[in-house]
Amino acid sequence: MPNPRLPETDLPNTRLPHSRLPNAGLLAHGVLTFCRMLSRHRLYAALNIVGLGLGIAVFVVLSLVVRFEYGFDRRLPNAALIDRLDEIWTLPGEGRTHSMFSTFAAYDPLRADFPQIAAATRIDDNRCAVDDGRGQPATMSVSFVDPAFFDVFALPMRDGDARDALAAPDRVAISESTARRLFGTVDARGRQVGITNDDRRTLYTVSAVFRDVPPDMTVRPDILAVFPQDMKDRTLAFRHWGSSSGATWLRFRAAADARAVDAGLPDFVHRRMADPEVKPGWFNMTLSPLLDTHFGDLHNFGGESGSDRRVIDALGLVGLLALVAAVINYVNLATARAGLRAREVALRKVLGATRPQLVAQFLAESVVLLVPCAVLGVALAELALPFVNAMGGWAVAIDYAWLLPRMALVVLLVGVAAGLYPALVLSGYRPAAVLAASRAPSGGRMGQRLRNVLVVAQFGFAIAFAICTLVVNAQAAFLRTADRGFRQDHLFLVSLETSDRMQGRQQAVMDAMRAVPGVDAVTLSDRQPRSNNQSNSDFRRTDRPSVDPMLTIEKIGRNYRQAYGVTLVAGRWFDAAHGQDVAPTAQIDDNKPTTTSIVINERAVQALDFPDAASALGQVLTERQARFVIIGVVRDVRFMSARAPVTPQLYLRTDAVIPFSVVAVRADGVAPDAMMRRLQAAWRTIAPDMPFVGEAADGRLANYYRPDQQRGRLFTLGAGVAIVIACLGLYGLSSFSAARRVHEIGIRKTLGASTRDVLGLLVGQFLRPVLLANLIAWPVAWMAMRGWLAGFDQRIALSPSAFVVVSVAAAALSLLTILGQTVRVARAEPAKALRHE
Amino acid sequence: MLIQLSDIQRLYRSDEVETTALHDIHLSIDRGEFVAIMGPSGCGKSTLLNILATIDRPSGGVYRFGDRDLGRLPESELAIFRRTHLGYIFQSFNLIDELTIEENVELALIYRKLPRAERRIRVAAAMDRVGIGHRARHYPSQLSGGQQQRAAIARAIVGEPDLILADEPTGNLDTENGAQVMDILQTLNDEGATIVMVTHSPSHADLAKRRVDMLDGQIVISVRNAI
Ligand SMILES: Nc1ncnc2c1ncn2[C@@H]1O[C@H](COP(=O)(O)OP(=O)(O)OP(=O)(O)O)[C@@H](O)[C@H]1O
Ligand SMILES: [Mg+2]
Repeated sequence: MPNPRLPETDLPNTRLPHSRLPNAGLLAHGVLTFCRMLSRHRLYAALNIVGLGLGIAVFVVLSLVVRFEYGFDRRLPNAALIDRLDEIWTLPGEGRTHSMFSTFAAYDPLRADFPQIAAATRIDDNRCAVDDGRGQPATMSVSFVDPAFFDVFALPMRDGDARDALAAPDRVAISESTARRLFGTVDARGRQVGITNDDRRTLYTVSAVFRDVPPDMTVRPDILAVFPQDMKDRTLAFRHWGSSSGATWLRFRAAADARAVDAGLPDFVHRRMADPEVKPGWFNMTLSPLLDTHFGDLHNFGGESGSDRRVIDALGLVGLLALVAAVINYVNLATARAGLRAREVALRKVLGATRPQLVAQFLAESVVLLVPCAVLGVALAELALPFVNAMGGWAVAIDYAWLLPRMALVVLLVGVAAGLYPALVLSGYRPAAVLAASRAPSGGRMGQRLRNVLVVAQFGFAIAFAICTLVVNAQAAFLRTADRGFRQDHLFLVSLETSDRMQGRQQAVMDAMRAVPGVDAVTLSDRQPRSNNQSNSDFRRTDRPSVDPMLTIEKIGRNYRQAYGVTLVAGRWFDAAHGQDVAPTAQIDDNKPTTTSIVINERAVQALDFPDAASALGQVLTERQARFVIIGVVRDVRFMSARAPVTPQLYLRTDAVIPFSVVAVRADGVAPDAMMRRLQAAWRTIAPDMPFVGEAADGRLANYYRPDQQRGRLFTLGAGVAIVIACLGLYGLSSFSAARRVHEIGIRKTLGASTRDVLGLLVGQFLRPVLLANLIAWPVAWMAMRGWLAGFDQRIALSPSAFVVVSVAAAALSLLTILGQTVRVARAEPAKALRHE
Repeated sequence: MLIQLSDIQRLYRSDEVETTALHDIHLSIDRGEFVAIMGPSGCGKSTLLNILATIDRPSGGVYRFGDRDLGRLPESELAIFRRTHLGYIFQSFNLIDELTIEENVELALIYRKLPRAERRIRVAAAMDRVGIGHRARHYPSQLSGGQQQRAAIARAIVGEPDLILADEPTGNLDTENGAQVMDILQTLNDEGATIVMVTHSPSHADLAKRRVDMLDGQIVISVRNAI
C-alpha cells in the first residue's frame, strides 16, 4: 500500500527563471511529476486502469455483439428487396398464429399473378444421408430449392456459375466446408454426391461450390438441390394449402413492388386458395422483409432461433452503461485525487505557471493514462470473446479497422472529460487560499455530493441488473426442470412421419421396439414434443350448446400414459375393457352418431367452462353427429415452448393406424446413446429400407430453454462486471476519502472518539449511497422482470427473495470493499494521523 | 499525584534515520497544577504533549494517570480516557474544515453522548468565553488565525476536562488576545483543571505555577514560580 501522502514537489529547488520556462519543458516537467505520482500511488493507478479497462472490454464485446445481431443478412446483395411469404392462421378459439412456413402450393399461382416478383424460391431443409459416391453416408442438411435460388440469394461463389448451378435436376451446389467434409478438398466441381431422401438414393453432380455462409445470415444452406419431381408429388405441402414444409422467399426489383404484392395477397388468397378444409377467414398470407426476420421471427411459429431484439438492446445498453460507469469512476477518482494535488498546482502558480499551461498539463496526463486502459480493455475483450461467443451462440470477432478509430475517440473523450474538471478547478484556485488552508481542498461540498450521486447511480444499476440476472436464471432453471405434464427424461421419439409407406408397419415397429431390452412402454400418437402438428375441431357441450370451443385432438395408441407419464387429475384413463374407449379408426366420422370416450386436459376443462375437473366427468360433447364422453382429465401436457399457452385438447384412443405419427419409447436405466442404437437396430428389422429418425425428447426440448439459459449466463457475466466496476469505484473513492480524512480522524480521536466510533462513522458514510441505491434498483428491476416474465405462459412467481439476496450481497460486498481501508484509517495512531498532511 | 511520567522515551525511526524526540523524561504533575513548558523548536515539546494526551505512545517508560498505568490500557479505554479527562489545544488548531466552528466545538461533546440541548448550551457558553460566539456558523477557512486558535480553545474547554494540554495557545494571537487566553486558562486552573501549556513567551510562562525547560528531548530545569 503506497503512502497516500501528497507528492512532495521538487519545484522549489528549480533554479530556472520560471516565467521564461519553455512550454514544452513545462509540459515535460508536468509529465515527470505525474509519473512520479503514479509510481507513488500505484494502487490508485492500478484501480484506475483496471476499472476503466474492464469497462472498455465489456463495451467492446457487447457492441460487437450488437453489431453482429443488427448486421444480420445485411451483407447479402439486395437484402432489402428480399421478402419471405408468411402465413397467418386465425383458427376459431385460438390466437393468431404467424407462421414463417408457407404452403408450397402458392408458389406457381403467385408467380403467375404477380409479375413484380423478380425471382422466387422455396426452401425445404431436410436431414439426409449424403455420401461421396463411395464411402459411408453421413447425415447432413440438404436444402431442396427451386432453380432460381441463387437469383434470390446471391451467395458468393467460389467455383462455378450461379446462373446454371441448379439448372438441371441432377445438379447440386455445396458449400466449401461441405466440400471439404465430403471430399477433403474444395475442388469438388464435377464430383458425384449421393443423397438419400425418403428411402431413395439419387446421384448428383456438384455444379458449384459456394463460399461458406457466415453465421449472421438467416438462410445458411450447406447443400442445395432442386426439388425432385417425386418429392413434389409426394409432399402434401405442394398440393394442400393447409400444409407447409418450408419457407418461400421472393426477390423484387424495387421496394414498391414488394408493397404492392403484399397489398394484393389477401385478394390472391381469396382468388386462388382452393382447399375445402381451410375455411374462409382462417388463412391469409403476408410478406416479411428478410431484414426484419432475425428479430421479428421470435414470436412467429418456427422462429425460435430468432433473436429477441429487447435482449440485444439490453445487452447494448449494458455495454454502454458499463463504459459509462467505468468512466464515471475514472473521472471521480481523477477529480478526487486532483484535490490532493492542489498544493502542487498552487506552488507551480507561485512559480509562474499560467493557467493554460496547467490545463494542458492535466489534459495531457489524463489522455496519456487512458492509453494503457484502452489497450487493457481490448486485450480483455479478445480474451473474453471466445467465451461470450460460446455462451450466446455468436461468431463475433474484433474488427480492428472498425474498432481503432472508435477506441481513439473514446480515449480522447474520456481523457478530456476526466482531465477537464481537475484542470479547470485546480488551475482556478487562488494559490494563497490553497497554501493557507490547513488541508487540501476536496472540490467542496458540491464535489462530495456529486460523487455520492454517482456511487448511488452505479450501485443502483448494478443491483437492478443483478436482481434481473437472478430472476432470469431462476426462470431458465425453472424451465429446464419445470413440470411439463409428462416425463421428458428417458423418453425417445421415433418418427413415422417421413413416409406414408410406414403407415402399414406402425404396429410392427411398435412391437419391435417393445421387445427391445430396457424398454418399459411404447406408444403412438400424432402430437409430440416440439412439433406443432395439430388438428382442431369445434366441440359443443350437450348440456350447454352455447359452449363450443375449439379443441385440439390428439390421437393416441396403447400405453400412452405409461410412455409419456402423464398425470390423471380426475376420472380414469382409457381401458380396453370399456367398449367405447377404443375408437375403431383414428378419424371419427362425424356424420354418424357414434359415442367415443375421451380424456381432456385441464385447459379444456376451462375452455368448456366446467367449474372443476370432477364436474367434467361423464359430460358429453358433440361434433356434429358424433358424441364424446369425458372419462378423465389429465394435467396439461406442454409439448411446446413455455412462452406459448397450452391449447385445450382432448385425447382419443385408437389401435388403428394414426397418420403422421410418432412412436414414443420409455426406457429407464439404459444410457441414451445405447438405447438409441438398440432402437435403430430394432427399426432395421422392420424397415431396413427406411431411414431411422430418432431423438431423445429432452434433447429436443432443450431448444426451448437453451436461449434463456444462454441469456442468463450472459446476464450473469454482465452483472458480475457491473458489480466489480461499482465496487472498484467505491473502493477507489473510499480509499481516497479515507486517506483524505486521516487528519480529521486524528482530531476526532484526540477528542475521545474510539476506533469503533470512527469505524461506524466511516462505514455509515460509505454505505449510505449503497443503501440508497437499493431503493432505486428495486422498483426498476421489479418492473423490468414483471414485463419479461409476462412473456411466459409457464413462469416463476416474482418473489422478493431475489431482491433481498442481491441487496444483502451488495451491502456485504461494499462493506468488504471499504472495510480494509476504513479499518486501517480508523486504527491509525492519532499523533501520526495529525502529522499526516 | 495526577500524572507521573517515568523514563519516558520516544524514538522516531524512518528509513535508517533514528531521531530521539524524548530521552528519559521524569515528570510528576499534581492535580490542579499549571505547568508551562519552554524550549527551543524541535526539542520535543509537542511530542511530550502528545504522549500526555495518549495520542502517541512512548517507545519506553511508564505513564501513570491517577492510579492507572495508561501504557497498559487498550485503545478503546484510551478513547474513553480522552473523552472524559482531556482537552487538547493543538499547535496547528486542527479544526475540521468541513464543519462549522460551532460543530467543531460540539465535536468534543459528541463522544460523551450528552443530550443535544445540553451540548448546545455548553457550546454557546464556551464560544462566548473565548469571544468567537459571533462566528459560530462560519467555517474554519473563513476565520483568521487568531480566531481559529480561539475556536480550538473553545473546543478544548467545552467538556470541562480535568487536564488541559495547550500547545502554544497564544502563538497566533496579539498581546491583548493572548492575555485574554491566559486569563481563561488561569480561571480554568482556579476552577480545578490541571493545565500543561507549551509556550515561547516567558511572560506567559511566568503566569503558570511551574515552569519546565526542555532541551534536546530532555527536561533541564523545573522550577516553581513564586506567587
Ligand atoms: N513523525 C516524526 N518522524 C520523525 N521525526 C519526528 C516526527 N515527529 C517529530 N519528530 C522529531 O522529533 C523532534 C521533536 O519534535 P516536536 O514536534 O516535539 O518539537 P517541538 O518542540 O514541538 O518544536 P516546535 O516548537 O517547533 O513546535 C523534532 O526533531 C522532530 O523533527
Ligand atoms: Mg511543537
